[in-house]
Amino acid sequence: MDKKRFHDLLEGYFSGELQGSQLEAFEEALEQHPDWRAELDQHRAIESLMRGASSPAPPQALRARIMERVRAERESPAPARVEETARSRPSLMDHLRRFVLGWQAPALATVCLLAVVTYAVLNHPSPHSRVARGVSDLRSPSLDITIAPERPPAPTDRDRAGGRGYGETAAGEERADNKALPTITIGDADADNYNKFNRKAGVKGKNAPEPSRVQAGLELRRTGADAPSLPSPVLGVPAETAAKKPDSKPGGGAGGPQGVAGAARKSDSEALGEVAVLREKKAAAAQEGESPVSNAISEEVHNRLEAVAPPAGGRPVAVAPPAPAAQAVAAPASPPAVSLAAVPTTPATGGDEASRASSSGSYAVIAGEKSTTGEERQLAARGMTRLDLVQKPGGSPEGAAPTDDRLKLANSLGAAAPTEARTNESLAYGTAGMAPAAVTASRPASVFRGTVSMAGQYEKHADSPQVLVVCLGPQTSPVEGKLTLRVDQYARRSEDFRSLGYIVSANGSIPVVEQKPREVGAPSAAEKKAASADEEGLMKKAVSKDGKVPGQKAESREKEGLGNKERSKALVLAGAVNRPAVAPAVAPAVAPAVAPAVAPAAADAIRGMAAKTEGAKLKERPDTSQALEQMESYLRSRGVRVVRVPVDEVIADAKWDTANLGKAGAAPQSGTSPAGRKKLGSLLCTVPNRDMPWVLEELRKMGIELKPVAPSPISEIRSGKPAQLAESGRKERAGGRGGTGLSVAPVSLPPQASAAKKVTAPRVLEFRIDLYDLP
Amino acid sequence: MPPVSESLRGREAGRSETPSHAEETRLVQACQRGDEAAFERLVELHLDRVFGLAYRLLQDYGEAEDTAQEVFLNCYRHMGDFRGESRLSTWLYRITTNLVKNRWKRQERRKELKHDSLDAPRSQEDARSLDPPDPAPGPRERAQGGEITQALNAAISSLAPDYQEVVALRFMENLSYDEIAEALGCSIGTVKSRINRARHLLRERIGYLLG
Repeated sequence: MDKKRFHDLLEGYFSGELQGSQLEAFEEALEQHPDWRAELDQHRAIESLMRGASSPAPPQALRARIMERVRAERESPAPARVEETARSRPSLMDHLRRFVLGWQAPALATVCLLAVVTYAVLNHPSPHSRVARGVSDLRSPSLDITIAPERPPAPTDRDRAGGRGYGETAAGEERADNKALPTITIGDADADNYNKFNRKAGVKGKNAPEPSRVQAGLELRRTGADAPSLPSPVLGVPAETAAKKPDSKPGGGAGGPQGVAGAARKSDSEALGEVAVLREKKAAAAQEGESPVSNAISEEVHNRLEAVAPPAGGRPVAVAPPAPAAQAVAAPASPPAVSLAAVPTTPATGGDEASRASSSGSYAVIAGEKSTTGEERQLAARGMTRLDLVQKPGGSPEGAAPTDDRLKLANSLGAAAPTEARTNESLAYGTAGMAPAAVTASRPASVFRGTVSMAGQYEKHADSPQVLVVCLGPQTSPVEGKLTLRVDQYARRSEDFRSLGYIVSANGSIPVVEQKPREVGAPSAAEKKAASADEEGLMKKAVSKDGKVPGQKAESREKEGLGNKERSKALVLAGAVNRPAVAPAVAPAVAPAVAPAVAPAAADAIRGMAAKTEGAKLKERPDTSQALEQMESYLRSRGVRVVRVPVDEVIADAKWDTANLGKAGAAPQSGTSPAGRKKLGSLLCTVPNRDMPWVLEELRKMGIELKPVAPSPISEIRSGKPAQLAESGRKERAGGRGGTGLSVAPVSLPPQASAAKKVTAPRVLEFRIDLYDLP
Repeated sequence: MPPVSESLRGREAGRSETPSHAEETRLVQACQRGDEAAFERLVELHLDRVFGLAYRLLQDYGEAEDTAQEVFLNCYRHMGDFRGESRLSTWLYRITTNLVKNRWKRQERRKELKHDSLDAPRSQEDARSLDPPDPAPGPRERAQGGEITQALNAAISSLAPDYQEVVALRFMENLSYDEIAEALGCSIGTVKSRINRARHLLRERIGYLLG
């Protein structure tokens, strides 16, 4: 018998259930194993303790109290319950009554209602069924049908070598298959070919269609005086202008895809004829046993073509793209009916004035709604409509200027508003420089206080992080309160909305968005903080060019006894106060190359932060840690990837300094280690290229400027090349001199990089922030 | 709260006699007819057991008192549903354990919801409630017994509720496996398994005191 078996039988042994051989085996095991017996004795002792344990008696009054309650229940209506429960069984009527009065009946009714509604919805004629009806109309023999060719193949390398473009043969003649009427039958493959061609042909600028704006799908265009050409994201196949140069502008009209590929015009009958042609070709090919369609027009495309909607009353026809068909059907019907004046829609990309003017009315979406441009259709697919904002005549109640640069900027960057927001008269939003996306917003009755959340925007449009929020609701006063923007990718930054964008209220004014409404002319909270910091001597705005505060020496500031934490706060505060209203939207082509010498704006604050570290040993002291943590958290909050250099590596770096440049205090010129200062800590920072401009801007505002200096030995030590560095270190590191306790060195740039010398912009900017003690 | 001396009467001293099955049946039938005196007699017969079980499970005199009162009120309200297929005591135990479980759940919720901040200002009364419990045994505990008894009570309290129930019913109320299974609404095998497991857990926790 093993221990487990012993334990299994234990309960039976105690309860006397063990009989015969089991009992004998159990007792034998107990004799053989004294420890088991000891365990059994313990169990017995515990059981006897439990059995002998006394429990307190109930209070004497409890019985009387229970009977009192019982009598009370008997006298009150409750006794009926006793009688009710005393009955043998509930009758059928009881069950029925319980069913009707209980939850089952309403639940059953709800289920039935849901079933009916579902049936009705499923049987409602959908846009798809309308398309099907359109197809049957399209097949009507009464239509005038002409023949259209299949799509010409993309130019080969030989064609391009001969200087010929799309639709031209090597002999310089127009392709035979390109002579027929234009057909806009673009599928994904065609779009890819077209883009590839444009890239190879070097077509750039606004005439080149943006790949992201190329939509797969079909579209039939109408021609004639009533429907001039327009820039469309949907590509067209060159037709009668096929022999033109790729950069020619057909019909004196738009740039954009047509400018490259030629105008794509056709009448309704011509367009509709293509369908029949394709159908005939398909039938003929089927008879010949060949592929029913050419390689340019795939079977899938052909099938899509059959889903063409009928022209409604001679109106233009458009075919929804296959994927977002449902969304396209639900395109917005009208321009924003809001107090903000809506101006004629302006395409964001491409197109000249003629095309803009003609953009309206040239297309119709399948549902027969108002014509839209390609861009608008893209917006419509997202349930949005482009807005152009103009100042409402009369200005704001506060007497704001009727025009504002920010408004202009917003218009120039583009804005879009959700259709639903307009209809609900609640809140419209726009993105400046971003593609509009789903935004959820909440708004109480009168004043917007909510959160705008956007998803998936930052990564796509990192260069333009501004967001424009347009309040289109019935607000009579400027938007008050704090509007918090939460872009998912921005979550790490947790920026207030005011840092990223603007709010344009319904009356056209652009209110100052503050957490609390403040009086006109009163300083903002940030300004108050700055002023307060000034009073405490943390920040001095009046800083001379050499970084010194007039009338106050560093020693006296140090005597104020301010801790590093406060100084770091002041440092951050300086950045916040001086933060630009608009972050730079365009990434620089060349990595910045500015001096590491800290600008005078916050020089004293930075000095103050490092002042306490004077005379520190080469190890990370608590105050150093604190300062680095402050800086680290600040940078992290700004989206900078920060790696704190371990203290041993910092020490190694300092030793390297000592070995190669002499004693730390004696180093005459050192790019990474300002003369006479000991390095106390380092932060290795990485910023994506797209974030570089505003990060640098922030650093500048903090009083830190960048200058390319020699790479830090830390990185070389990590890469295992300290010896080589030792040889060339002195030469490379002989450069500028840091003037304060912090220096920033972009470690990814070569030492000779400068603003004058063109340097290939790195994918990421790596820089190092070193904390030095002060002499 | 009764005086300690009174409340600490041993179960043998204070517990009322066990009624015979015939007497119990007669009383139940009388109760179902609305005989208040019969119900009072039933209360008299079972109050000690019900209260004792509630106290063992809840380890709180006031809570046990409330629970016992609630048990008998429930019994009175639903006396018509009792068919006499089992002992009334078993039925009462079942009601008791169910009510105790409800109280445990409420206590758990209260624990989850209660977030006391040591920094938050509070009234004097609240401040008292935040005083850490005195680890020393109280007067009642000192009177109840020595270290082993305290350790045993603590060990039982530390068991999972399922184990506490079977321990109380088996070792303190002396119910059979069948009765326990009926009172708890589970199988006899489950009862045995729980008892065995609880026995080993208790030995693990207080075995060192027993040598």
